[in-house]
Amino acid sequence: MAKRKKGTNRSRRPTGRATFDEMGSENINKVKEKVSDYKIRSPIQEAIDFGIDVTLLYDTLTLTPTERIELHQRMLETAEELRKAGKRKNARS
Amino acid sequence: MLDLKEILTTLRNNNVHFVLIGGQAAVIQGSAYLTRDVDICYARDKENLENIVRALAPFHPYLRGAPKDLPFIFDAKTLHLGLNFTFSTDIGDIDLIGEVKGIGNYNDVLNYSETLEIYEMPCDVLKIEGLIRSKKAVGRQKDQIHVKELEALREIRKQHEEKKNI
Repeated sequence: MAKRKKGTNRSRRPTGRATFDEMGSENINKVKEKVSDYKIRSPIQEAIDFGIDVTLLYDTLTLTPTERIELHQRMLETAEELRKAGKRKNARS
Repeated sequence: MLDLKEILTTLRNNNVHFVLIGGQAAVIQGSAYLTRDVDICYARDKENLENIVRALAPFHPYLRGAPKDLPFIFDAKTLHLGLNFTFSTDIGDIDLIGEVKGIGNYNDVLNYSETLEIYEMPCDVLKIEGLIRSKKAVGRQKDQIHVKELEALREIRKQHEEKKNI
């Protein structure tokens, strides 16, 4: 087998896959379509489109399970206080 | 007011075999969902039913929403005759679920759970996959948003795992 000369064929990928330069605009557009398809199907994007604030999920994932419960408990207590305050206000008016 | 620590402690101290499911399990898995009750899937063998009664009786469980004068005895026989119960107790609302829609009984649910350390106690908690499965099986309108959130959570966690492995 002939020894490959050092420094040649650098742009060629060993996998045999085409580079963007070799793909042509039609194929590039197909790839772009696939990428945008994935974006539509991504569960994270779907949740965002559904109105879910996914930044909250990233935040809670930094906590331990016990910390998540404690945060939830504090939120629940706050919600309860707000509910009671609303009830008091309604009773006065 | 809900006291999950007290609920888990009494169940653990009385050797109750259970899996935490529903909203609290979702919270533990990272959901931003706000829920006021605790859902647990419990084993239905005689010993476990007796353990549940011993664990919860001191907190005066009563059928949620039932008239106050309705005669009700909280014992193993009552639990044996029913399957799913919704209780109000001194430490919060507790739902005992004998069979989870889309998954099955305690042993089936256990296969979809993982043991996590909560308040320094090991606790079996339904995994995201199981939560999605059960919510989809119930098919309520209000669960749609939770399914979307759980699916996003699953994806975020997957991405985290992939990043860790790089």
